[in-house]
Amino acid sequence: MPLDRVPARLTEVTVDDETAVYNPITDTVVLLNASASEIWRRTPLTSLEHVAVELAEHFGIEPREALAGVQAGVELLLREQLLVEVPGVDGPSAGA
Amino acid sequence: MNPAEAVGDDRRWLQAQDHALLEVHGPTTLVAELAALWSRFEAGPPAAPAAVRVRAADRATAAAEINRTLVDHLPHPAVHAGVVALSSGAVAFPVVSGAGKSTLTAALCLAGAAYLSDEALVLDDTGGSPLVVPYPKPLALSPWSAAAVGLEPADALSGDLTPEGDRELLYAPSALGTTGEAVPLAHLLLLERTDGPPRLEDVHRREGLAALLRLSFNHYRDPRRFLVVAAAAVQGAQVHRLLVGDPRDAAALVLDRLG
Repeated sequence: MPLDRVPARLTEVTVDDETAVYNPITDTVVLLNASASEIWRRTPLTSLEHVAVELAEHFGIEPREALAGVQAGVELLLREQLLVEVPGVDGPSAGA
Repeated sequence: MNPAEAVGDDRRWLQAQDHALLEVHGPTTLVAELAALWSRFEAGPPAAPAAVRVRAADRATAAAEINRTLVDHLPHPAVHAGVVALSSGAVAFPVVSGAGKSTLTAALCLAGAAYLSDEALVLDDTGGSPLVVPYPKPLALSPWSAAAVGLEPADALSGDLTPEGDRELLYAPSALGTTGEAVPLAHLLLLERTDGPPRLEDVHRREGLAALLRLSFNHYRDPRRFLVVAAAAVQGAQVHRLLVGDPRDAAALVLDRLG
């Protein structure tokens, strides 16, 4: 199932190449590092492999390494309740 | 919010419009300092408390109570921090109590920085870009800290025992030199103790933003605004880690590198 930002009034700010997001649901500010910020900017997510290819190019790393990072980043965003699964035809592959 | 008349020589009533009342007991000089601080933040609600009465048994507790009340009602985002002004702008070091904040503030001021606060980094965003506004409460030091920076106990406004049995010396801002005006935040310092010489290292702005969020006084009133203002302040500043041993050595390094 595709992943998208939680339907809440999120507030986000950018500091250098990183992002801080206030989530009113958890009443928490989550600081996203540069790679998590790149994932966040690409929401909604329908293919983690596609995001990994883009991030590999962006950061100049191997796609396999990027995919592991994308999976970890998505897990973080789900854990912090910033991402939710939304109905759709094509869900994100690679286990998210 | 205008201070009303002094009653006798040890009491002053401060009235905000017709609904806020602060009763302060203490020596005239201390009351005058607190009255001046109170008057700085005369913005309307939520700055003005409905009613505040301080009847603490000792002056250190009274000063702490007044400070707590003021901070609770500040109309701007505020963070627990020491703050001084250099020619480059404001230098703030957000830190928990007891980590040397007031001692370093005093050392910096006695070395030439202008005093802004030993308690609160107050960020006024009403004009757009956030400005650090002074919160010049009387500076509180232990006798050890005062001696470490070269302040005489006799120059303190008061030197009462706190309820915990510690002696606390309160110094008027004028004892530290000049008080600064509103300026942009130029540097954020994250303090760490060291037994060696002081050192200043650049760190990512993320660490500075995290410190402001962690040590906020009043983010709960409007978390969104706090985040936006804090991030804007950090984005316009440089963030450093300052390893502090002797406060006077650390102050000299800060003035040399950031002044």
